[in-house]
Amino acid sequence: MNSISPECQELKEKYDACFNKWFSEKFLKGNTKDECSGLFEVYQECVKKAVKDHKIDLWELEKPVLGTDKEKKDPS
Amino acid sequence: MKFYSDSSVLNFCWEQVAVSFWQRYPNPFAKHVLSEDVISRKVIDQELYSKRLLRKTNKMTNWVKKFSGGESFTYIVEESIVDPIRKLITTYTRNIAMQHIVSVEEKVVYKQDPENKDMVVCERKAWISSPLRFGASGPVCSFVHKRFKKNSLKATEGFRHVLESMFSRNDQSPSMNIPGQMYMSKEMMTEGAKKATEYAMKIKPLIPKT
Repeated sequence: MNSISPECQELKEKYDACFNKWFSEKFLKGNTKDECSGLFEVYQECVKKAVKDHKIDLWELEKPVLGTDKEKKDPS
Repeated sequence: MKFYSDSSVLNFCWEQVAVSFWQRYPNPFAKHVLSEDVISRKVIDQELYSKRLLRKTNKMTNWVKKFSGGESFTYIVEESIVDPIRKLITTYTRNIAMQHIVSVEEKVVYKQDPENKDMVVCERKAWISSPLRFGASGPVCSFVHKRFKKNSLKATEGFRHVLESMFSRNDQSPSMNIPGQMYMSKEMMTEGAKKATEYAMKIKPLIPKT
């Protein structure tokens, strides 16, 4: 899948490959020790710059909703 | 505000659904998804918390375009928690652009069917609201609600398509239930496609020219 910025594409692919392998071979079997942090860090540096360049609302992006009381409730 | 909910079943085990969840884009049913990036990711108490940023095309009718200034895409934040012990994936998705016209928040839970461990139940809920005034919010919400319903079916179809291409439905051998053996790299998929092409080339001369 494409990254938001073509500059981050290669870093994203490397990280995604590491993550997908870790997720199926380790995480789902109960081994939660992170193995992709180096690749994630360089990929994140690139994405953060792209997010800034695209003028994305950082406050909205960073705000946690899942698991908080900001989640919408079922209509009663 | 408009509320939407539906429920669907995926005929795959929970581990397969979890592996495919991260690889469900691109797929032929999600051409509107332009990009996908991880923004944050951490493990807390054996659960995986992720946040992804998606960019999607935003096809609106002309009258909605008037409000939106003609923006042709929007940004979506997808938060998720994967709980491998309870076999649950919970996602919460919301748009973080164009909220001055409409906000769509969606919560999806993928859980192992309590009666059949080879099936996953997907429960989807969505809330659509608009801050527009002078009677405009009703039609906007109705339009988006209708489109959401259509897209929700497409999202499930797309997910099924990815699951089917990753995990052959014919192979019901017990090894398929071991998560470690389910990971399929891009190279493996490319290799499969290459073999299929080679095979097609081989059988081609057998097809009479018309």
